[in-house]
Amino acid sequence: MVRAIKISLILVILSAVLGLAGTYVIAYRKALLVEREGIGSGLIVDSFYDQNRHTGMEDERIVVFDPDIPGGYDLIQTDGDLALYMDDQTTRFIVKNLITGYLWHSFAPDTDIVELNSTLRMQMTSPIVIEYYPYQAQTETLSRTTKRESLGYTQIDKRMIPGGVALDVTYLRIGIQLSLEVMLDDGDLVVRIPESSIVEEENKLASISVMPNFGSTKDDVIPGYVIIPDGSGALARFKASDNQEPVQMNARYYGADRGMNLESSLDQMMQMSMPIFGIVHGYRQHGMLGIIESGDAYAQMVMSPAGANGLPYNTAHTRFILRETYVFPTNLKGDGITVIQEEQNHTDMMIRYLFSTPEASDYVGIAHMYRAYLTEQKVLEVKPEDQMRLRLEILMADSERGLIGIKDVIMTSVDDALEIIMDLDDKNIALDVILKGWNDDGMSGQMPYDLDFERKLGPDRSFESFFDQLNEMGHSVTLYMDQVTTFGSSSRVSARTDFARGIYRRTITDAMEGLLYQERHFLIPMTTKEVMEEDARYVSSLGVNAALDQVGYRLFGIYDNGEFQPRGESINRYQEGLEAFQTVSLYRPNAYLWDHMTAYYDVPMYASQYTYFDDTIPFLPIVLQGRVDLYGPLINFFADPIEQRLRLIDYQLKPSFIVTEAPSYLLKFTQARGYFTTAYADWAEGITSVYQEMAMVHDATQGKDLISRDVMAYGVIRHTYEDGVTLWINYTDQTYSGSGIDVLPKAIRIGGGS
Amino acid sequence: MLCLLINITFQLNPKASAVNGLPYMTYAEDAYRNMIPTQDAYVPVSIRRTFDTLTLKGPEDMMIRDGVMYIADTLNKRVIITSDDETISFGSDVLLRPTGLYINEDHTIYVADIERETIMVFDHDGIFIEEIGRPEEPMFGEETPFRPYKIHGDNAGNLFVLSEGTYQGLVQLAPTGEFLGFFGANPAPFDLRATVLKRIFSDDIVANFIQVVPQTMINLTVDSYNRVYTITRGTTGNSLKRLNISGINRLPQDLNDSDVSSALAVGPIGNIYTVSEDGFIREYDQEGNLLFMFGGKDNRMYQQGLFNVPSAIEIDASYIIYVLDKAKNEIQMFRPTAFAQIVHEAVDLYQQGSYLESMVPWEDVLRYNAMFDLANKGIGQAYYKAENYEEAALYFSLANDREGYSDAYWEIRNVWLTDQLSLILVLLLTFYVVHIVYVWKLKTVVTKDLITPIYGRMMKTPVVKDLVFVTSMIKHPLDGIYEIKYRHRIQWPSALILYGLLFAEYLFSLYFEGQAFNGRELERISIMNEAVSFLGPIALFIIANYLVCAINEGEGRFKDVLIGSIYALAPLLLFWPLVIMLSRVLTLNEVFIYDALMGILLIWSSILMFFTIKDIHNYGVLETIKIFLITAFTIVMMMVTIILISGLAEQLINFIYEFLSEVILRG
Repeated sequence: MVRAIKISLILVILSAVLGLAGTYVIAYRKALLVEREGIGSGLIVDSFYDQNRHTGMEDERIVVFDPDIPGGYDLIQTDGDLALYMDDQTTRFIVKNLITGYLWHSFAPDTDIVELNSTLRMQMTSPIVIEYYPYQAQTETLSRTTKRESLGYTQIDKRMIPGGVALDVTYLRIGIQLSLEVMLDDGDLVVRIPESSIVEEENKLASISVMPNFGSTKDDVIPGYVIIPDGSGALARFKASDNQEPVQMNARYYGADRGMNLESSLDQMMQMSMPIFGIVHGYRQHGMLGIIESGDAYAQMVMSPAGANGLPYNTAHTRFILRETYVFPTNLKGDGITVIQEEQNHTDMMIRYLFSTPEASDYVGIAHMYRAYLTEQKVLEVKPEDQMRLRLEILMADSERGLIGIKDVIMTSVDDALEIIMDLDDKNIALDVILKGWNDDGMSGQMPYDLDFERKLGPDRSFESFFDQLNEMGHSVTLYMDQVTTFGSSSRVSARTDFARGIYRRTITDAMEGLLYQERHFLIPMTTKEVMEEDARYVSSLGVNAALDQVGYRLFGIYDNGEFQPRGESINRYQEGLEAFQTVSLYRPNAYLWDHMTAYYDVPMYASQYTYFDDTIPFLPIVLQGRVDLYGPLINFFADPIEQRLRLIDYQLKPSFIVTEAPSYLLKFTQARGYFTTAYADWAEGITSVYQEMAMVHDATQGKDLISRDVMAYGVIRHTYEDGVTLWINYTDQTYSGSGIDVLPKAIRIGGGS
Repeated sequence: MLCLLINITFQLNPKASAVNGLPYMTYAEDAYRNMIPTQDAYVPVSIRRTFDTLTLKGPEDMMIRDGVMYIADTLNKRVIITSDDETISFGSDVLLRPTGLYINEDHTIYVADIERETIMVFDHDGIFIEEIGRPEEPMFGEETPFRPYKIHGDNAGNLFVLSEGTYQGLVQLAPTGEFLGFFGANPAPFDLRATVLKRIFSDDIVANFIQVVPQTMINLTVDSYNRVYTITRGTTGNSLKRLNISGINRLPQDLNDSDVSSALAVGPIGNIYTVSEDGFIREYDQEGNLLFMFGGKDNRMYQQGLFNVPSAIEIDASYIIYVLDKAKNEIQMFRPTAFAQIVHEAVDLYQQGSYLESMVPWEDVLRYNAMFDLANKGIGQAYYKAENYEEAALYFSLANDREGYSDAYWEIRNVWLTDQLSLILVLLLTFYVVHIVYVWKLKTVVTKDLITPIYGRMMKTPVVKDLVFVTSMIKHPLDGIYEIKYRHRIQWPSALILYGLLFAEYLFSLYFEGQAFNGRELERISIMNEAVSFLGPIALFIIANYLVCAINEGEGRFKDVLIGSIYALAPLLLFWPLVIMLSRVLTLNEVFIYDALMGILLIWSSILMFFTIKDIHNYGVLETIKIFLITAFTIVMMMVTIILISGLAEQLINFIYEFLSEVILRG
């Protein structure tokens, strides 16, 4: 009896709370700095929200498929929900999902109907395609133009191995041998090429494309998409070949390698920070996630939409680069001759394919699948409690050119910083405080930073008491550091021994437009590691955290001691360096550093805007949600504050700001001149209002997993969380009415279930 | 991080644009027309490649009129009209190569066909009306080609045709098609050879073998006030022109522009937009200040927001930018961000002269970007209008607006003078009384007991004696020179100290000259650069003069020239600081005082220099003049030599480098 009353009481309270939440509407009209006027023009499509900067609507067609295995295939192995079949004659594979009966083919569909020449037909059905630099007998050199070869003119010996089959492939004409292992492992499909199996003669391997046609579709026969881990995440939907600009995407995981490229202009706007790709056949029907477990530093994602290369197929796969060409400069200007990398990149090549359940077969489900994989691998840990915090970067000092030498530009002294924090503390804002430019000569000065506080900011004692006070108030304190590049004036590194040189035998250097520094040099990863270890001891002695810039997203090979060390080696150095830190936050880290970080700064909110992307999705945030603190980019630089704050909520990111006490125009002649709006006086109000609104959303959704993210109309997103809490985000300028609720323009709404 | 394809790169802070998910950064200019990074102003929203079922091929022009878009689909030999309701195309039967089009207020469509060499006129349904061919008026000239490339018109129905190969300017036609004259030709470039030859031969003869032709225009537009805008390739600073009715350019000649601009358009508040072949969109206000620059070349990356070969640009009433790309055969659209919206609001109010009303949006702009000088200027104007001169002066000084600052300062000084007039008079009177008392009673005592002993003691130090000798150059210059030359009065270290002093005065002028007169950005000053640019010429003069005189029977030793030169500059040494101090209380209204004082100092020093050199080397007047000319020539030759040697050295280093690279690579 008592228990029944208790339960009903709880139910009443619960419904009251949910009812309140349901009616709670946050209108953003009064918010931030200005209002964007509604703009509409008949010449543009009705809204901006069906474009690839946003997420589009799903095609919910049901995929019709035949669950029967065609003749000629032998069952190789069954493991968990999967069965692996192979046709010895054609070297084709089929993976069957035993629960749904869906077949995943290693070859493109209908290759016998579509008009293709024999070479192309071979390519579209082969489980591997190699590219090599052909040896030219007359000149006794390698040609720099690669040739492509699928499984023609080969001798294939089949061996059974635990879990599957190994094919020892010998290319008879070109004298190249390698083994392709296809197996089921732990309920997943694993495809592997051991480095030790590769034998070359005069012709040298350039690249190996593994399972290039796995999961490929023809035109728009099957609804679905490819998930590309670019920036926050992007989708390329399957479309008919006549409906798009057909271009093949070849993008390197972890960005371009500065150790191979003299030019810095190859840097991309965003980079692919996770070594994965996903394919969905039919929304919430069939899905697959490819994870590159080995060789990711040299891998490329190749995505070819129907129409590209004259083929009607949508494909996505991984290509491992073993040798590249590079420009060896022969004059000071940088002109030179193209040379082929002598030593190949040493690595095993291994991809693990995970298959999703029907309900998890969309990007949210696949992101969760990847998260589960990383959690199982102990890369990520479940955070016991997800506290709402605001990242507050405080720019303390930087330097500019003085009449003689360097002149310090003091932006925020220790006392000023304390005052700012007290002010925000009064408003009950929990902070992750990052001090930038705390060191001698400020933010750009003497990188890697001398471990010494800039004296003009306040005596060392005041820094120490500042840290104590912040810890007492419950805010975390973090020192900003960068151990990857130097302007060449630090006493901690020397140009002779510590500056990295690329395979082209020159220092890896960026030209900078600046009065004080005109060049920025990259450090060899070993130096970076040593500096990181010293820095780790320093921050630990102060009892504060460290935030490391660049190390997370820069990856390059170096030329050292007469040989080229490809960038896979650099990963190890950086991982070793990070181990020295107890707690460390990273700016935009690539996946190989994720097990060392406690917070992720500057989570991308967009993808690279390639015209062949159809949607931008919060794939990265969903993968890391509830595992590490995710902070978005600095709100100061949002050009459309209202819309972009909605996106922060949509992507479940915590807010970030940068402030200074002094007006920002003082930074005009420093390297930090990109920080053109930082004055706390201008931002105090904005910080408070953003925090309060986001804290409210956080309270309603914290600790709950996102189940689905649906696009209800263009520009109207609905999140559904574990216990039925919904969060509506309306990016548009019109009120959205549907599913029995109204969402005001440019506003969010929290509901207790739709 | 993004494709920084321009020479201005701000790499330390790539986040500022990755924040907004754009493949480009946005720049504005500061008061010195230097580029500064700014908040992103435009975001690509959409790309259109198909219009109904029609696709484009090499489209060259585009125009929007009343919500309808007209595209010259050049290689498909047709014009496409597209709106919400319908899309039609026409002209494929008559057009050969439509490269430009213009739609007048009655929706009559004028198409410039460069291959047909005519202007084809259609009604708004695409029905052919008439053809305007080559003007037959004698005024047009018999030889003048008529190859219409672009066309635009004014409110009165006059047409302006940009004809390829017609150097005389735009071809201006009446609504009826009759030729009215040429308009707004670019001035012919100065050609020394032609100018000289024309003095000797007749113009016609010269024209036969030297063609001095003005740079040709590449595109044009006309705004709602009938002002004609043109762009010219191959020149910077004035590639964009706004011509008034008499064809005179009213835009500044030092614009932040591109030498490969392709197209232009005028926006809702008279802002001028250009797009250049390298893919950059620039937006200027009516005064030619660069508000935003963004975009870039798409190096086969297929990124939204970048271009391949942009050929036309249009802006609609809600500031949406449309850019036609003739290589990608598409139209890209950009919408303004919240930041751009406030800048537009502020600029609009400012341009209308509503300074006070523009203050709030300008302050918002500053909050978004504290380095936006135009905003500081706008706020300065607002304060000035509100008669808050202190604040006005502060903001003008932030914006480096010297005129504004000078005006505000004039007001401040005026108030101060009026307020303090009585005090000033009292002070002057007191000073006068004290002076009289001093002369009457105290002078002898002070001089005898205080000044003379100290002076005497100081004069025992040779350096001090040398330095004080500067004053005698003022009082008795010829005696001074005599003493330097024959009595070896001065030690050379003293001269060096004086050179140091002069340089210090120069630095003093850079830092402390009145703000109305000083246009330098102090943060950019480097002592090495200043030393080279200020002391370098002096050093060159001394060396060159010594060398020249040594072989021209000059008597002076190197030491004499060194010492003599600085003592000749005595007027500058002694009085320059005073002029600098004075400049701090002057405004631009009194600029003549400043100029005159500086002029006197320089002329005085020059005269002294002349006689010093003359006497040191013991020359006659004519001989001295000759020596000065030879010295000037020597200086030029020395500089040429320095440049030559450094160039050769660089070549040599590069050669050695190339040689070693080759050895490393092959060995």
